[in-house]
Amino acid sequence: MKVQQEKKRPKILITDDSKLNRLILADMLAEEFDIIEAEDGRQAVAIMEHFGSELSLVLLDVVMPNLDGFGVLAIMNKRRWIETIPVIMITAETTPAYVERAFELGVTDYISRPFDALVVRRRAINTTMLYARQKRLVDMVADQIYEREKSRSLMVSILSHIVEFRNSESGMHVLHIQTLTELLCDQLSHMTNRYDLSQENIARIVLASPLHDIGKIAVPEEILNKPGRLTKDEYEIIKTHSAIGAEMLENIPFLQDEPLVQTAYKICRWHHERYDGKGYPDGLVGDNIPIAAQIVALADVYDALTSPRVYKPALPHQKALQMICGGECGAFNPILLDCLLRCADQIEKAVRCESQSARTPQGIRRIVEEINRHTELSPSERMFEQLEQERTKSRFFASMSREIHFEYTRNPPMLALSEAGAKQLGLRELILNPLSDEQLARVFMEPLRSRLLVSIEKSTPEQPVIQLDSPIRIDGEMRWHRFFCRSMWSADDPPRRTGVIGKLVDIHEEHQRLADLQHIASHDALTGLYDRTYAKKKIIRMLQLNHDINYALLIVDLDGFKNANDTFGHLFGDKVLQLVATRIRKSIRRSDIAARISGDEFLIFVEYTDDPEPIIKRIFDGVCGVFEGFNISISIGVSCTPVLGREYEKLYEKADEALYHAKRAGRGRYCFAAPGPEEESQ
Amino acid sequence: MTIRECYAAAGGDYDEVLSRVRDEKMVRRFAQLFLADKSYEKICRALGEGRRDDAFHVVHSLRDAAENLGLSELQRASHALTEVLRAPESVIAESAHVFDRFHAVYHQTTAALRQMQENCG
Repeated sequence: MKVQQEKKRPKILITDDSKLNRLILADMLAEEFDIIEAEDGRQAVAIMEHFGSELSLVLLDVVMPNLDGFGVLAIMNKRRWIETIPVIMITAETTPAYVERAFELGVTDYISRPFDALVVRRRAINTTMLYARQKRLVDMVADQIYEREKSRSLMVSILSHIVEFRNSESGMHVLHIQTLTELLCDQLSHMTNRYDLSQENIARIVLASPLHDIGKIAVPEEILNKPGRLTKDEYEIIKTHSAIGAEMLENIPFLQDEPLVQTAYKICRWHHERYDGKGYPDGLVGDNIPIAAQIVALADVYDALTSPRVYKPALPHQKALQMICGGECGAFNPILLDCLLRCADQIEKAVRCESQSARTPQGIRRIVEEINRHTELSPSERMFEQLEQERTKSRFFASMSREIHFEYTRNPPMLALSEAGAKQLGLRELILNPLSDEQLARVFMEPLRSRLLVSIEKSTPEQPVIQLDSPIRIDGEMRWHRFFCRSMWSADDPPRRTGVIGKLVDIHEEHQRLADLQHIASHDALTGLYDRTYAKKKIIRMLQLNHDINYALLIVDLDGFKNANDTFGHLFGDKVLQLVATRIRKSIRRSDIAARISGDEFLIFVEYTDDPEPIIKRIFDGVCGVFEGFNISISIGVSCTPVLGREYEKLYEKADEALYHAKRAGRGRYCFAAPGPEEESQ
Repeated sequence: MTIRECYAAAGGDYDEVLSRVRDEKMVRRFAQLFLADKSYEKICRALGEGRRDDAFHVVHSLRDAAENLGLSELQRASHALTEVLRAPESVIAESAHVFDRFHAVYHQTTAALRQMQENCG
């Protein structure tokens, strides 16, 4: 396996309308950076669009045609590229106001003319390093938040398990409660805005849900694990666990302001309340019961029903749903019951699959995402990353397939070729103003260019796909390629054409095979001349297309050929036929037609101006002669369009008649068909 | 003439440029690039065809280039011209001398740079 090991140098985009200034900057920076140049703002934006955060730095001039430096900055702000691609402004010392405005628009630094080589290099390097470090820091912070949340979740798990083991339960209860709570929260948040169910809040409720029974730590074990029915007094003792749990949380010093503790408090205290107000400890009614407690209560009941307990076996999923919705296990918020039914399938599946090891810290991932959303920086970072991955993917596939991928944008006019594709075609990856690019014109020649442009012009948003075959020049050789393209449209009404994407596939071999097959199908195998059917088709087409050209149709018969076959054998006969064919071909022009129509009969169709006779004579003389002791002699019947009209059948019939006359008159001659009475009357 | 004298004749300060670019070879390379640059022809064409905006942009970029090469005379002359090109029509009518000066300085600058490239190679 060959591994490419090339050190990646940071890419820098130099945007300046002065070619000389670009060259000077490029000279100063060429040692550390890969240089890309843009000669105005529009090109710069296009290049940023193409390379994304692959660009490590942009050097930006202010005054430029088409789109000036501030225009570029405005776009970079709007598309939030400015957060990941640092910009150094190029200014003159005479214009301090520019610098101020540029800083407001997010540039990192500026360099002023006249350029000082050391300053330019130092600032470019510093800025790229700074940005690289910042990116690393953002990643590190995300990792740390993740770690912190993970350990927090771990602590909650341990605590809940202590309670649960004392309760002689399976240990699965904690996990089930979390899963059920999460599913219910998610579903509910899609159904209503009535409750504050942001991702962050959901994560907190899920995290706190296993703590609902911590108060049971204060309930004597004999009561907790009693297999038989509880007495009224015992039941009253059990009922204290919700208030006790809440009290425990309330008494934790210093942590009262922690949102997690507050949520856990609500869940502990009120997860045995009922929607109809008949619950305990406070008899809260309806939505006075915090939603976190309502949800966990439902999850708790479902899990209690479907899990085995010391005093009862496990009930099936459907039965549990029936009992809950039938009001046999307490009174719940109707919307919550609806919510339970809607995610019933998911619940059944999730709880069944649940295992300690397979559990993914979903809530934590969500929280990190939420925090990322608030910091406003990372999503674009991640988007770029995803984009980058997509690019790597398509680049990889493109390089595997030897297909040439391309993308054309109309405004600014730019053609981007896949890396491998550009190499194959011997072109640059990025071609600005492709329609007037000379190198490109040498690869994609006329009439292909016009055909492509017309097809693109004709495409519509409903029918955006274009396919056409054409040769293109690769390495100086013309090779057939198939274009698959799709025109791209804006979301405007009416949509505007924004560009074309597509690929080019080499179909040269396939095309060659097809051409060979066509040749075989239309030619006589022995002589290489056309066969009868194909010749007829061609002649009819020529007669129709060229009204003002005179044609002569000849039927040629080899005199005494049967004798040659009988005397010298078939192999010799074949040689004679091949020789005749060659001689015929030599005495006609390329645009004329020659075919072998039966054993020793040939058909010739030639163009002439005034008098056909010299041509006929030339053919006649050209074919006749002695070959290895055999005297080749032919008879020809000729019919001409000025005399007999332009109908193929008629011409053929008359030429055949004339041939008959020639044979009758002693062979070895040619005869012209006379007009019939029909033609004479005309 | 020494390279310093040539640069002075081109309206620039050789030592100042060298202090920034830090390499005599680079100075000479930039001078070569400057001589090969087609901006001046573009300016003349744009002015001749009355495309004032286009002329402005090319003069502006020539000015920036002159600044980078430390060609102060040309920088001043082209700066004056950019100011005229973005002024109202009436100003242009009265500014023949600014145009004349620009052309004169350009020719003087390029002539001196050419001599520098030939003599001090």
